[in-house]
Formats: sequence, structure tokens, C-alpha cells
Amino acid sequence: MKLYSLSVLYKRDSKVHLLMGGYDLQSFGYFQRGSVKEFMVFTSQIIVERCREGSRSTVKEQEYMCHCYIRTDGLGGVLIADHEYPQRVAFTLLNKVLDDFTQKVPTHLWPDGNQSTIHYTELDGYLAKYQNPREADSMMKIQSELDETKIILHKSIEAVLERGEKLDDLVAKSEDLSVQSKTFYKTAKKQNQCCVIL
Amino acid sequence: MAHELAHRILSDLSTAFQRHPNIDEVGFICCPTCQHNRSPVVVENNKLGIETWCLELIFPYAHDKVLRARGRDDRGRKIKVSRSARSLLEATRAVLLVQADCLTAWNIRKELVEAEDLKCTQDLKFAALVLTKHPKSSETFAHRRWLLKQIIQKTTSTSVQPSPIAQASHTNGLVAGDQASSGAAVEQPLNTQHGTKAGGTKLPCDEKLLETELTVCQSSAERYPSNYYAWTHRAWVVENVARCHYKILMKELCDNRHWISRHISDHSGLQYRQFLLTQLATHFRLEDALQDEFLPVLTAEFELLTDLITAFPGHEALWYHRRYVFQQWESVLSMFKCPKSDNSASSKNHTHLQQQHCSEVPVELYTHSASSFSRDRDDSKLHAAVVQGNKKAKVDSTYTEHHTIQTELEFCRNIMATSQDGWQVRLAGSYQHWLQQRILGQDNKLL
Repeated sequence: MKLYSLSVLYKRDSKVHLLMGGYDLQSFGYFQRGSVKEFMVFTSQIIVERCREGSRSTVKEQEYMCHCYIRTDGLGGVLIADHEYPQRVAFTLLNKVLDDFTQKVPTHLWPDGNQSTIHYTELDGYLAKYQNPREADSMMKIQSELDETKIILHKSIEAVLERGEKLDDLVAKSEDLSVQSKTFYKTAKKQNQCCVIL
Repeated sequence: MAHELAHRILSDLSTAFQRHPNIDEVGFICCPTCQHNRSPVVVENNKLGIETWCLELIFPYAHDKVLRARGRDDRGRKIKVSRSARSLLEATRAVLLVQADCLTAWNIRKELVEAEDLKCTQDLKFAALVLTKHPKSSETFAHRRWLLKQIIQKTTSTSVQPSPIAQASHTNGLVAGDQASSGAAVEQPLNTQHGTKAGGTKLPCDEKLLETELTVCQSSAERYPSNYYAWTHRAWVVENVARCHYKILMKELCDNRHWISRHISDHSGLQYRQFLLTQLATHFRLEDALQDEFLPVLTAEFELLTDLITAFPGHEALWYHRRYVFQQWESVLSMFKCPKSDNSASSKNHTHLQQQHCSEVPVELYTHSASSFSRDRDDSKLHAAVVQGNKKAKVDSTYTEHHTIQTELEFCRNIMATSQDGWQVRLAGSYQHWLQQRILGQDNKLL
């Protein structure tokens, strides 16, 4: 039952950029962590780009569950977890983080913000605290207070893409992925490895 | 040219190990081409990284060396190749870091151990390193077992005791790649395998050795979900290194509880838990403490399961574990059903049930069938002793009223009525069906 990454992004006019990210990569091999982090950034971006404002969705990709909540004001959060982590707690956490972020970071900084201009250091703390869902979320014992919006489930990342878009192309084009990561993606795909990051 | 390069890289690898004796993890760095004439061997924070471009150079080179060391002539006789131990160690190491299941390489290392060119402890350390990259390697775990047997035989041969290792009862045939060690394996009588709770506080093994082994199993289980080989190895260690000592069993049960609460879908972790419970059942039966000690353990198990099943809906592994726990529960209770001297017809049936459930053998490690205990071993003397020993015919009603088929069916109904998770509802329905089959089965037996 693990959480791997927690990111806050901003979406406006179909453009998305990362405001801040927190990562827990201890369970990955030492030399893999760099690439893993890049892929988590890449994946979070792709998902927020292709999901609508005012929606909650979960994208399943191999061993990973990417929970995404985009508010109507364009602020979005993506939590990447394993398949054991309870979905409801994931969305409770996303709610909490976005509320907290809104309180601490002024709105006018969002449209042009990035990791160096935004001052928000809470994400690592949230990630650590919520690794154990029961300790962190007292609401697990009672029904959640989430609003009635249904959570859309996508069976893979491919399912989120536009028609005609291929994940391989997006990986190749991406400016956020290093050459090393792109090679890793290609070889892992060829070998049909399980537990590939994407 | 390629040979020279491969040779140089293998030297770099040796140097890295010499300079950093505490390397605890190995990984590959995805690097398609050689960059800046730099060595592909990198060490950072005691982590060894090998750039992937060099693998297709060093692996064939090292593997070739390994195969030539095993060369045979036309008559199939081994060719005596004079190869230094150092060279063999280097070659086998390179091969195994890339392909951990190369049995030939492991066997060469076994010979080096026997020739005392390599210490068991050193090789255990190396095998642990291999597992950081290949956590599911069955040959690596098998090699560890061979090394452990060597260590144990060495320590026990210095004491007066007879032949040490009993063949693992569950893991016979289930553990791939194990070659029986050359010493004859003698079955220990069961009552000496289990440390008694009262007197025997001294563990039958080196504590540090045990701890290291359990840590290795734990890390491997962390690196790969539902790691069958890591958990089977762990069971073997508890059985053959710790000899199923009561204290170890209880500690493992406790530690494992934390594990499965964080890995609720880990089928292999739960099957290991079943192994522990089965061993404890045997232990408590010998101590005649089933009611006082084992039933509370099972009660706690039910509580844990109810807690996890309701908190984390939709995990099949937990439901299957519940079936096992329920089977155990019923088996224990059935042993207290009738006084032994009663000859009436109904009690004959009950005694028959009693006899079926009293056979003294631990459950087949991975069975989920309706029959609780395997009937393979015939241990009638012990069985008679147990039946005689249960002078208390009655079980405390606090036990008989909880966890009956009826209460379990009630549990299913509750889940099915309240859960919003479709898969959880189906799992509950499946368990309900299984329970109903048991009722039918019991009715048939009593007819």
C-alpha cells in the first residue's frame, strides 16, 4: 500500500504546467529513481491535459493507479499510488492538498508559476503522512464527505489519450524526459517488463 | 578488441568491490552508448550501477568462461581446466549479476566454497546483492539454502548431536532447484523440533544468521509483490534454521501482521502466515494447549481479517485467508466434541470426525481444499496420545458461540448489504457459497 508522487498542476486553455511535486521513491532501485520521477511528472501532466475541469478520475496503468482531481478553477492534483491504496482516501487527500495550496499560494501566481517560483513545501509531508491511510484519514471509518461527483475509471493511459495519439510518440517528443528515460521506456516496452513506470 | 574491453570492465568491477566492501544494492543504468570513454561501473552511496551498453560485452565473455570451466571431453569426462579461483569468482559474479538463474555459475561457486576458496558468509552476502536486482530468482534462493545447510552442518558437527536437518515437509518438491545435500537427511521426531514454551528459551540456531536471512526475505518481498520464492524461502528458514521454535513462530506471526496490513493483496505473504499458524497448531497440540493458547490466536486472526476486509474492500487474498482460518477453527473445535469412551452411534460419527482432524500433520502449505489436514503421514501413536490427552470434553462456550458457520454467513450478508464495492460483494458471495458447501458436506458425513 504505497504512495509514490503527489503533484499540483494548473490548467488553463488546455495548457497545463506543474506548480509543485512531492515524491517518495524509496521503493525503487537507486539508479532508477531519476527516470521514475521524470515519468511520474510526465504522466501527471498528460492526465491533467486530457481530463476535464471539475472531474475526478483514476487512470490505471500496470501496477499504478493515478488519481486525478481537477477543480473548476483549473487547479489540479495528481496522486500516483499502487492498486492497494484505497481510492477514497486518495481523493480525500487530493481535496485537502488543493484546499491547502489555495490558502497558502496566492491565485495570481498560478498561471505562470513553476517549481522554482512557487513556495509550497507541504507535499512531501502529506505524502509521508498518508503512506498509512488509516492513521492519516480518520474518515476511513465513516462515510466520506466527498461530493456526489462520480470518479471516472480509465483502464489505461492509452484510454485517456485523444484519438490517434500514441503514447510512444508522446514519450519521444517530450522535453521533460531525458535520453536515458526514453531509452529505458523503449527497452522496457520491448521486453514487455512488468512494473514499467508507464 | 571486444575481449580486451570486456576484460577491463570485469577488472573495474573487481576493483569496485574491493574499494567498496559494503555495496548493498546493484542496478543497471540505462545508457545505450559508451560515453566519454568512461568506465561503465559506477558506485554511489554503496550502490553499484552498471551501464547497460557494456552488458552485451561482458555477459557473453564471462558466460563463455563459465561454460569452459565446465568443459567435458568426448567421453563426457570433465576436462581439467586450470583456472584460478579468482578468475572463476570474477566470471561467475559478472554472469550472476546479469542472469541470476544461471545454475552453472552458482554450482561453480558451490565448488569454490567446498574448496574453501570462498567463504559461505561471503557468498551469502553476494547472493543478497544479486537479489536486490533479481528479487524473484529461484536459483539464488536455492543457493542460499545450500549455503545455510553448509553452515548448519558445520556448527552441529562440532556438537554431539545427531544428523541435523530434517527435510522440509512442506517445501519438498515445491522449492525448485534444490539439490539434496550429500549428507543424509534424517527426520527429526516432531517433539524435538518445536521448542517448548516453558523451558527451551535457547534458540537452536545462530540468531544473527537467522536475522540476516529474514531481512533478505523481507527486502525481496518488498521489491516484488507476491514474491512466492521469497516467502517459500522464509518458511524453509523458519523450519530448518529456526526449527520452528515457538518464540520465533510467535515473533514472525507478529511481524507478519504488520506486513500484511500494508500489503493486503500479497497472496504469498498470507500463505506464509498460514504456514506459521499451522506450525503453531502442531506445537500447541503437543503442549495440550489448543484451547488455552491456539484458539485465542485464531480469534485474533478473525478480528484482524474482519478489520482489514472492511477497511480495504475488494481484496481476494484476505477472503481466502479467512477460509483457512475458519477451517482451522472448526478443526480445533471438532477435537473437543465428544468424551472418548462414549460408544453411542452419534458419538461414533463424531469420533470419526475427530480422527480425521487429529492426524498429526501440518497442512499442505498451499491447499485451500475443504479437508483441513493432509492425511499423508500416519502418526497414529501421537494421535492416540492426543485423543487420550483431551480429558476436557467441552470447549468454553465463549469459543463455541463465536465463529460458527452461522456467524460467518451473517458476516457475508452484512458485507453484501453494506458494501458499495461490486467486487467486494462478489467476494463475499463466493465465501458464502463456500460456507454453504461445507454445511452440505457435513450433513453428508453425518448421514
